[in-house]
Amino acid sequence: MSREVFITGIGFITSIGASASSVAHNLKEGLHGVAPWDFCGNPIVPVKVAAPVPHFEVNSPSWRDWTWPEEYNIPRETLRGLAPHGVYAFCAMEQALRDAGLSRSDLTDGGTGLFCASAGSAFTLHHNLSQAHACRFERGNPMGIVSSIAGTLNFNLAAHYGITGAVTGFVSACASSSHALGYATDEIRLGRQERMLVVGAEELNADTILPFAPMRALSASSDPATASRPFDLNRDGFVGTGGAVVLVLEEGSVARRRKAQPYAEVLGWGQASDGYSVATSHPEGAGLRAAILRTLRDANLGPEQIDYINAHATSTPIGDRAEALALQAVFTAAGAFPVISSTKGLTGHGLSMAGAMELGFCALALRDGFIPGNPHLLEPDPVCEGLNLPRASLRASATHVLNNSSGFGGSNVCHVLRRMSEQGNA
Amino acid sequence: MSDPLPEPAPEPTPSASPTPVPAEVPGAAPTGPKPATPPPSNPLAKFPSAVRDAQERFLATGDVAALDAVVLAVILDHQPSIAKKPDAETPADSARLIEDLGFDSLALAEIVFFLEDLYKMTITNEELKNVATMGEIRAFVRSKVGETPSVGETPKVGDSNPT
Repeated sequence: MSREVFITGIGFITSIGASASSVAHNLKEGLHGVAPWDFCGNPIVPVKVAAPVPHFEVNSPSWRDWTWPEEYNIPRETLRGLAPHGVYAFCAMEQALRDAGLSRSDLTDGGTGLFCASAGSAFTLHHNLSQAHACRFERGNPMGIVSSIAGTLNFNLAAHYGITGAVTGFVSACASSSHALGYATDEIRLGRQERMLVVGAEELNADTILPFAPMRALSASSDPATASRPFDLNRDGFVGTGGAVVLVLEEGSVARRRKAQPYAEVLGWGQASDGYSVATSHPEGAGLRAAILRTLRDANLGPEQIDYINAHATSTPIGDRAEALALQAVFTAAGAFPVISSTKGLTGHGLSMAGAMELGFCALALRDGFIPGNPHLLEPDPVCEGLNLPRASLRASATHVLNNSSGFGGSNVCHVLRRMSEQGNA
Repeated sequence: MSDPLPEPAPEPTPSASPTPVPAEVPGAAPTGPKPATPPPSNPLAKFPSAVRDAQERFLATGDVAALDAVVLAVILDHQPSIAKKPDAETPADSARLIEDLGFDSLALAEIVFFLEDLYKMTITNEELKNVATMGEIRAFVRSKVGETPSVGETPKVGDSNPT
């Protein structure tokens, strides 16, 4: 029998809360984290809202100017190598370890690995290269590379925590942290690691978000309450957010031995690519459909056994449509009617972080007995016909939930979680 | 549908920020419109005022004792916290940066970059070969800054921002 994989700790630094309890509260109440936002001081830019991360000020290129909640102690020698989103990641990691009942000394024996996902820091890279160009590369910040390129999270966190197991990063745009979670699950299933730390993080600044504007992927709405409205007929693009989410995955016997209190079990995962376009989804959601089917097969479940689906739906016209068609092909066609919601209506789109953030939401929902709703869904797109998209959150004990993620190039990754039974899923 | 009513979330988080921290209320526009990326700050902005005063004094008068004070502050600011002793006195001239004071090579590279940017100069690896102690780095900066024409004439501090 395959080894079990439990989620035993989560850290949230998000637009809708910086603790599991505040995130759960806001998911249940349908409270969003979107606010008016001026990215670059240019009123012509048609992007008027974003979902900021409260309690953090990391919009300076100098770490000396940053502030973060004082409960997190970031030593100077770690801070110097971090990008702005590394600060989020550090704090989410501390929170997740505390939540799991683990300390640094538990992470150093080789049994723990670390998989991370972010796009790197375009902001930091731009600043450092501007400085270097200004002096014709005669001098530069010695921490410039490790604080900016994709991989900055794994470089920094592995060194800080002394992690000696498998350490790497994943880059598949908005599917990145879902890939990290999937391969982390496999590391445990294959017996290579007994514990995996999975990190997704991104920055909220002009350099990370505004390059999506020329693709016409960002909402032009100035109304924070409805700008992000996945599956709505009038959706016009996504709303950017930053932050970090960390999940602690542990092999079942390891979690039981140390009497951890798991949120949920990772029952299976799968992936498939569209093989279609560098940036847009397959019009019928073909890759996502295949990824869902592979995930269900891995979890040994039928479509009718899924109670809730956390959709990837980012509120873009093309992406949400493709996902709706994929969900209909797998679920509606099989007579299944799971509850579906996209929590990006509340959080905005966290890019590389999205998969980890939303699997964290699914785990919270399973533990606490609720299902997030779609509070911004005013007028469902007719393409969603037959899909169960409630506006309000539900008080319900789901058993199996599916989380979808899709990224550029047509990467699609899904996970299934199972609720913990009284017997601990033994 | 009415908009979701913002309610205080259950767990406002404390902050080290000197500015007041807004309660964790999603949707309540915690920050409002944001300014664009702020202009680069004075590299010494977060240092004690005595250090900034010393920098001003050195730039105005060429007082090398003031320069020494700035260099000492910059070195201590880059010392890894795991090596820092809470009651540490000013290190002796003979103290070795790596062996005695706990610096790593990256922290030394950071000091060099900070000073390069502060005094608009370029320091080569060759020049650093014989710099290993507190006294040696202070003497090196004295001689290096002395040969940099702009220093002591046109205060330009603040137009760059080492990170």
